[in-house]
Amino acid sequence: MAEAVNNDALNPAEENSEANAPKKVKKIKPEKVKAKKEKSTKKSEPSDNSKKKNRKRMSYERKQSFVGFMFTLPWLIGFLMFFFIPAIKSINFSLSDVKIFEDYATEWNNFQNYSNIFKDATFLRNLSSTFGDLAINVPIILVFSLFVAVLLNRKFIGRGIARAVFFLPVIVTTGVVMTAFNGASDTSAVFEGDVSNGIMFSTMNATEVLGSLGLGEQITGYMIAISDRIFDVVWDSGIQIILFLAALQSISPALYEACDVEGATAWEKFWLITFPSVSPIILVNIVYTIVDTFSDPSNAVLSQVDALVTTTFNYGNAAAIVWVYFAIVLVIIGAVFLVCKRLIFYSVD
Amino acid sequence: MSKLRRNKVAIAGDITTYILLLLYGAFMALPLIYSVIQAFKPYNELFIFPPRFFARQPTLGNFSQLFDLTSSTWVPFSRYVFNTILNTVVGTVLHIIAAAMCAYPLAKNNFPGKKLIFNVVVWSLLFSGGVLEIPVYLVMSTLGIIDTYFAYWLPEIAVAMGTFLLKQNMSEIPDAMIEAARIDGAGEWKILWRIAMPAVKPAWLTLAIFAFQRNWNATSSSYIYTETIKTLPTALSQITATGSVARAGEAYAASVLMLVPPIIFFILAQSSTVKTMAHAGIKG
Repeated sequence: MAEAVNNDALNPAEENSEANAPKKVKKIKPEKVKAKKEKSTKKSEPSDNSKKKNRKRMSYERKQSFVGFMFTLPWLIGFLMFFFIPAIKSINFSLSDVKIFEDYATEWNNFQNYSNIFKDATFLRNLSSTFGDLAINVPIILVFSLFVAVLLNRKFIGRGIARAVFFLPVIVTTGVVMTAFNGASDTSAVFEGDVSNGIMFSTMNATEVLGSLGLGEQITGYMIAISDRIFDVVWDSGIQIILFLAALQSISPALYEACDVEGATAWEKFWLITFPSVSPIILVNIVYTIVDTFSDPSNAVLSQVDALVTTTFNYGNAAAIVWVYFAIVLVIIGAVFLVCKRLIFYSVD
Repeated sequence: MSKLRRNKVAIAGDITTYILLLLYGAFMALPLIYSVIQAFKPYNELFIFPPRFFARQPTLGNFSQLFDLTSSTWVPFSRYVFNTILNTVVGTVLHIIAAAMCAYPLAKNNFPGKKLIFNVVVWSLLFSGGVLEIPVYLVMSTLGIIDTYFAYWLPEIAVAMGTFLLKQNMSEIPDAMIEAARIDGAGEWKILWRIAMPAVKPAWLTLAIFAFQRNWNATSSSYIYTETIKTLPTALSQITATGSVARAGEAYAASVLMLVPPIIFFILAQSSTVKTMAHAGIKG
């Protein structure tokens, strides 16, 4: 009896006796049919009640999407102001003669700037030197950062400190240290961020040490060039190491345990588990490295652009170079994507 | 027996790890350590050939000379320090707020144009800001913010990296959590700051590291002329670069001082960074 009372308390609108329950179901059915007849245009609505609910949800969703859009506004306005409009202006520059007096004026010049670029031997040389650097640096940075990430992923004492050390260059390179390095060694390079320029001690020490070993001058030269390259690579791979490390940590230990049970060697484990698991990150890292190398203000092409702007005030030509350069970078990144898409192994998703 | 062999292999692996990491770590850390040591070298030791790694007579002379130099500037030196601290705080906060506001609906709301906006974010990651400097100047001059603090602050809003990272991380928050908050009657604004942001704390701490470091090291570029609103890095490079050889010691001292705040900030927030990058990369 007590239970029945409880049930009734929960549904006060319903009638008390249990015998009424089947009646109620019957009652609903004709109602449904009636609703269908009335709203014959909307087939999907099962009942009047749920239709009301749906209308309410529609307006709720509209409200949601309105609020969502409002939230993106600050960033969008910032983007328009400091990215989109400047980019449009820059395209306009690249297509015209830019004349500077108190104000500036642009005059359409029939792709003159673009045709100039390809007659410009300096640009082509700078472009090929930048590409040369890229072709060497990207594979070395990738292999190096994956290797270091695998090392840093092992359990050992002092791992936290080691990780911090490998991330430090990311914090330091853009900072004032590089300025000071360069300022101390070379006045003209104060505003450049080239690491190898700055670390004079490495080159000097190396010359000294190698010289004292009695090696020839040519060999010493090679050794120094290599050590400079190592510096470049090591100092440019902070972010890549972090990305690889993160990917390594997300691999399920169960996979390795299964390997251990089957008696796989460390070599097999690396190529059959680790490598496929981090392959999506390899693509991310390739793209990151390419963009990073291309947008480094000290590379040959961007130095040329800088010189065009600051010394000859040839804005039109500079803008045209930048856009051609960007287009080439996009083509390269697109090609990398197409090649890597086939090779990447996606576990889930 | 085999367990013993295993242990031996493990120990050998550990030793190799240590050796290799020390070797690479040396390449990373030596320039830094060297610049710190340089800051403590007396002037006559800075340019000896062959150079020595360690200082024979360490001195604080470079630092005291640096402070002498700073007290002789036309604008009080504290003004530059104030400017840089102000820019760092305002710039970092603005960047994170704008990024969070944009990232949250991209991750958890549906509205027309959402895909387009996210594509715009991704594409603008491919650009480097420097190449647009002249057109940006033109826009700023139209807005009338040349030579004001806003020239430092407003561009921070448009940095796409923050929006991208936060969006990737917020997508990982279970929908049920957001739904529950909505059912309980929380507005979107409240959900963003009370539910979504605490859930992606590692992500915005990472962003804060980058933004802190970017703003802290910001030089007063071509957008600023008035001396009183120039930043600390600019002032230091002016002080130390004039007659660079003569001021080499002070330059090292200045660089060491400038490095301390970002490194402290990094250490405080560091443990979160690795976790964040995982989400950013994998869920492309």
